[in-house]
Amino acid sequence: MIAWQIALLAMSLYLIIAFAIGLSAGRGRSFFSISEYAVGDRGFGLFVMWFLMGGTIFSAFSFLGGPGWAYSKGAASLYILAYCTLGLLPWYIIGPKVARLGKKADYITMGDFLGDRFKSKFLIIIIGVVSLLAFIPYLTLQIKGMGYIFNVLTFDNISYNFGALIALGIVVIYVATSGVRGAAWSDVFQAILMLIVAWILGIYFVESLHGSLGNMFSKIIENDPDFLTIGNEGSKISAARYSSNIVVSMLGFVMWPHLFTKSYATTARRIKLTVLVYPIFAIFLLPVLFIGFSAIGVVPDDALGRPGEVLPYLITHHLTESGILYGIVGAGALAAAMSSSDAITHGASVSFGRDICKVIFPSLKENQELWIMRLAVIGVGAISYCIAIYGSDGLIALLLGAYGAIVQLAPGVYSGLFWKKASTLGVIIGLMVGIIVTIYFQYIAASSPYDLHPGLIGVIINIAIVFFVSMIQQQNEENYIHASKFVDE
Amino acid sequence: MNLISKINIKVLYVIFTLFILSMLIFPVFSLANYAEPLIFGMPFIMVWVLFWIIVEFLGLIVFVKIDKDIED
Repeated sequence: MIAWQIALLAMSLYLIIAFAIGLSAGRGRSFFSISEYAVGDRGFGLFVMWFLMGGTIFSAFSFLGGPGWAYSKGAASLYILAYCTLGLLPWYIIGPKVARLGKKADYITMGDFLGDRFKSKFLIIIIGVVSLLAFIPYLTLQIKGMGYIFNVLTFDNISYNFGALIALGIVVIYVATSGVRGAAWSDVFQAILMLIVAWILGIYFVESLHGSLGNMFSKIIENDPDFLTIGNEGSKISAARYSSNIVVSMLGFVMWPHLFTKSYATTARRIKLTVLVYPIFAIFLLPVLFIGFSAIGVVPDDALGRPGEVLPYLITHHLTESGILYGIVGAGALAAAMSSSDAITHGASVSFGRDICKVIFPSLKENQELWIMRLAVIGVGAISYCIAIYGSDGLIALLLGAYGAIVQLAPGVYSGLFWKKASTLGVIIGLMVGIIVTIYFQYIAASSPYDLHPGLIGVIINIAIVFFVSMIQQQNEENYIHASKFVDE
Repeated sequence: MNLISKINIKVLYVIFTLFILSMLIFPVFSLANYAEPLIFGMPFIMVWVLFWIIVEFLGLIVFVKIDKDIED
């Protein structure tokens, strides 16, 4: 058998297993319960939580983008390790609180919680719309990743469109039928596969292309001494941008609705024990960076359209002789893109059903709301697929503006949980101005002040607005008692 | 008494979180902003990041151990 056939076989086998796990995860559970579909009846065990939260960070970005960053930006790629290890830390404090509040009042989304805390339906709809606008480009990137992997590893024997369609179709079916449990259990399988593949590849490429780690890095340093530092003459990133990227990721990570709502899927104790193992996942990402560094001096600069293509280039040029390994790698790369896709499509469907439809049509019955969610899985998948196939790069870049908007949810969530005086008006204005400022510095202004991450500038203004509006506006007795229920929990 | 120790752990945790964060961003990070020496074959800057990830992991083990508020 030749390489592309092995790859196709391995990827097909992987898809069948992921499909079977995803479908069977929902068996024996109520098909007609929103609580089951959205948050797994709040009963996820520790094991599945680890891989659910861990698998989500191994997206197409970390598998394709991670090596790309290491290859093209050097030390800037350490940002990926830093944000993975720091991103989940705030969850130790807010997760258990959100879990308890959610259990009491039956929340399933971030909008449920903030809408109740700040008594505003308008706020829920804003959160729903922001979530959807952030999810769709995120999913689009995963779909592009899946199509690309299929296409490149089979040497164009499977078309980009068809490969993306098959992988996405499988995700859509198991998420629509099994809900969060389908996404969670397939993530366990996908995360394990990715970890194994990442380590095999990291070690293999370093050994075969450079002999040893020390050799590899010595060559890089000799060639360009500043490549492996930050903020120096020849570095690829400024100190301010590197630091603010990490701060924004740390604030924003748990604000992603598909991660935030996992607070509802389990207990306070398991949330804390999940935070505990996250640094280990960060260390597991290390070989992903080694892969990118190993390509330096091996992959010619003009061979790649984008830095994200460096891993597929290495695989197709330096691994095709290895037979079965080549196939497993294809499956692992596909798993990385899929394990994020399922969490995102699921999160988007729940946000659409609960934060948008249920608020506009409050008389929806549970059964109807649930069907809206299941159908929304297909809808969100279809829209993202069309953008991935037909959308211009410009359109996708524009949509990615919503990505920076996610961190703007943080001031509302933190003030809602910890500050009784926080006012509804302040949170809403802060959120909207924060988003506008972020988008301005991301797309319209030529550069941002001090080269800071645009999201950080937005969030600073956002916090200032929440603070000053809340200080000026007096809360009445009733609001104060209402807020105490959340802050004192 | 119970409430006080609960708050103290949260405060300690926030301080711990900010401490780890400060080790990984500038200005403190400039202490580590060197490619050499290579340690275990890896650049100094990378080993620094890994070192604090391990410290964070060990710190979290301690927090989970002393946290009374962890029973369901």
